[in-house]
Amino acid sequence: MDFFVGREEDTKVMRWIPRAITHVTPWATGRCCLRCKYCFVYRLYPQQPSSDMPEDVWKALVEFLWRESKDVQRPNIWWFGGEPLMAFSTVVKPCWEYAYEKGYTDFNPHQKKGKAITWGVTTNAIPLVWSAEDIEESDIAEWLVKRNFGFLLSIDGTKRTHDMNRVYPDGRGSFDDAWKGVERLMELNAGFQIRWSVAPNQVKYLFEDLEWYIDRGIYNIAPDPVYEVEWDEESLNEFRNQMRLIRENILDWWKEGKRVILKPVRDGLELAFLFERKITKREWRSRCGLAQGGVGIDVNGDIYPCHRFCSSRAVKLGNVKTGWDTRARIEWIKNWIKYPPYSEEGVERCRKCIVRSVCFGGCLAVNYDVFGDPHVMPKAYCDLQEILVEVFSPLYFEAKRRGMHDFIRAYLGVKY
Amino acid sequence: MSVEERLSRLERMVMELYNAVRGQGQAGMNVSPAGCDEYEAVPKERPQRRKQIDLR
Repeated sequence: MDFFVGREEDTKVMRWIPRAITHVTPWATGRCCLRCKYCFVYRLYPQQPSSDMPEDVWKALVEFLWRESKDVQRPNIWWFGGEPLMAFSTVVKPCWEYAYEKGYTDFNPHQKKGKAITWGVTTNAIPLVWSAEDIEESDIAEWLVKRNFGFLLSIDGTKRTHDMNRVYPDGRGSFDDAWKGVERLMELNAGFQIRWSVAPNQVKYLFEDLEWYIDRGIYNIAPDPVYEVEWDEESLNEFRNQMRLIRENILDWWKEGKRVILKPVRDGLELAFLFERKITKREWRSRCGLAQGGVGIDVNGDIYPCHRFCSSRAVKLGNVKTGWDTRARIEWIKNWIKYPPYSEEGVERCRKCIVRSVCFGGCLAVNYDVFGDPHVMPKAYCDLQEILVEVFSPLYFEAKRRGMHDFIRAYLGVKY
Repeated sequence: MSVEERLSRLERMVMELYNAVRGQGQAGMNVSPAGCDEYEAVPKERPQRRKQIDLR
């Protein structure tokens, strides 16, 4: 890294580049069995590779993470794609076996003495019940669970809702097949989180569907709006109504022992908590999407600021075989810290925004995809964040009044 | 008072609080170490959309 020594501005940027990374999110494959209507990969960038990550790349990927995580004790590989489990036999399984043979991981890496790679996968859940050659387990799910993989399942509520947007190439809904995967994980007692994309065309079913999940004992759910689509006034109002329904019920769910964890609730609670403590500014220069903690890796081994940048391939920061492109990494951060993130509607909206004190810019990849600039947040992001704060801030004070410290602790990770 | 009424009342109170903080109360935010408003560096031209998804 000698080439930038002496450039004062580069030296300043270096404080935002950590010496180690904690995780990588690689694309196991560019293939997917679905054609979801809101997919930020195929709908925005249709020309995706149809290949799987080659052997020399996934070997280099493991070595890259092992080397670049330095003294991080539990570095993580979290597979993404495409549908990563379509490449189970060609990438996911042999990559784990390679790391195991090298002594980098174990069946339960969390309990391994010393440093160990941990694993996870974001999947549409459909391939979980598929069988595979050369495994003694009855299906892919059992193989993954035996090795302590984490699971993020892309499922949008119930069949009625899910099938609106998550469809096969021929237009058929995919819920029935995806739910078999969920049931299989429940049968295996595996932990998982539901990653639930909330789009304007199905937002009105959110609360009703949520109750359906809670009735089935599934409490860890991340409903997250799709920001690359237009949210009109009607759909924003419906989103607010749905959030209010959640607010009116969530403390009762907790009192009944149903420890429901929902990402939007956390976002709203957080601001009330920070306001109460007079913490009025979040450091927006350090955050995800800047390759400061984790990076995305595409099927060719190219490194990007996060997995969501792999589809645009716009901000390449190196390759797992050749290492970091330090100049590109510096330029990416230098570009980011020039000025704060701001709304599509302009800084005047930001100056008046109630979320402003804790805003750190939404998703940089969404911003980049929509505007070609990671700083610019879509109007929908600003609107929806304001609703979350408006609806869930009161919940913080109500939970405190009721002495529900476990609720607050679980959501905000703070002690009382 | 029902939980719903209490939360609605709290929501109004919180919004009043935030509205009071808007503007002058937040004047000290987003100020760089050099003491200038960081938003001054934001490009003046309105951002243009180059991509978005149509769900239809």
